[in-house]
Amino acid sequence: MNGPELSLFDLGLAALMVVAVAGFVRPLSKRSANGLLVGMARMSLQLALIGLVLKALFENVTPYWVLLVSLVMLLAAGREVMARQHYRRHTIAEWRNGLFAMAAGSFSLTLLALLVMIDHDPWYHPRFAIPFLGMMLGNTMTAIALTISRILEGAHQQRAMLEERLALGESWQEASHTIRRDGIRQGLIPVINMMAASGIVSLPGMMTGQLLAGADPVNAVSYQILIILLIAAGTSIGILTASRLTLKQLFDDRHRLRLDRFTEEKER
Amino acid sequence: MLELQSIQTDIIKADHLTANAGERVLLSGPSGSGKSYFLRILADLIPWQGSIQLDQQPVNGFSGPEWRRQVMLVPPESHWWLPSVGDHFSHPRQAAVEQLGLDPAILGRDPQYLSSGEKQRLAVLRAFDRRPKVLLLDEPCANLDPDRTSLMEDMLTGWCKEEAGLLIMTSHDPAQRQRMADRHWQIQDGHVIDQGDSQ
Repeated sequence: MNGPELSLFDLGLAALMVVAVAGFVRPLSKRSANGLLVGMARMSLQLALIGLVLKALFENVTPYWVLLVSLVMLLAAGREVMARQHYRRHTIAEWRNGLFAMAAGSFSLTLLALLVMIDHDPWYHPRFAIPFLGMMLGNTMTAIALTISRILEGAHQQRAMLEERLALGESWQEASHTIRRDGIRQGLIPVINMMAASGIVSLPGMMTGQLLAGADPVNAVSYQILIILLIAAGTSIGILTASRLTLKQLFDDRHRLRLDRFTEEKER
Repeated sequence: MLELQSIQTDIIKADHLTANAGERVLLSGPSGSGKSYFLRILADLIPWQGSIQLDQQPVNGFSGPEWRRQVMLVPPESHWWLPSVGDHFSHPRQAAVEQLGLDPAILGRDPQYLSSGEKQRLAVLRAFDRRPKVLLLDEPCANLDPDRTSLMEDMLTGWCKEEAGLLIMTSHDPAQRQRMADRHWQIQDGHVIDQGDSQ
């Protein structure tokens, strides 16, 4: 069974809502308004494209194509994590850190799910591998971006306190402890909220999709629980890794605070 | 002994400066001349070129935190991040608190309710508590009235004598220089120059 089909008019009406909202946001922040519009265009195009890619992958199941698509997804997520940060370093190290954290958080748990829990033959079948990885990457990407942003902003706002703690002889790890804690807390808020609200406030996307497509509710629920648990574990691994790597960039080997390495992306 | 040789950054230069344990060095110069910046170099908090030695041991012989536990900077505005004032001390000494004209009960208070003058005095005590060899004070009397300034000066002088500590502090006040300085370093056009014994 399939849900009622959506017409172009339905999609257009939803798009019109986003355009209208962007109009209200624009006087407050031109950059955010543009972000909404560009985001809408990109999302529509990218989803249309991935539909075609998945269709091709399903017709020709090989691990190499799955690996290639996975790497493209990872690279894109790595770029997105840094793209909207307020403080940037514009170095390979910056990009590599986000990428590494994301790979640590999402690839490891996707592999665990595919090899142990789903246990389909072949395990790399794109019907499972790509949606799983996509969901893991999407959630860890948001969490990592929040954590990095909070840490970089915290370090700039609390610069004087950080320097004073260093001046008193603390290591960078000690001096930045509260900033790291705040960053981790910020990054975990979405996944903790998701777990707290699941089933009461919201029915998560994957389950909704399955229910609309006519799946057995109990089976849909157990898949959803699996996904959320993996997302919670994956984002935590990603956040812990990203917070450590980001803080490391803020200090040099003499444990000196090096905000001079970062530039602020100013909105005019 | 602290010895500086060929210190160079974009903002400040110093050819050769020395100061001995137990001495009080006053650092002067117009506003914006780089006094605070120079103290941050001595604490190795910003990148610089040249050589600094403490008792014949170069900076690089210490890790950053090890160096700063020996050569400790107290900035003009202090920060407190633990729930009570006393939590920032490993051995809070009530006598020292009283000596600076403060009520010992202040150690149990929440730091966010301290006045700027209280914070400034407590920040110096917090640095004493960590037992550095060299203390770098940036305007330690800026928020203090003449009586409290006098108490602070007495305490700093006592610390130099009793602990054989080296004190390097910035000051805008020529009279304070007269009272305190065993040695006077002056910043002129980006150069730190030893003006010798100012008394």
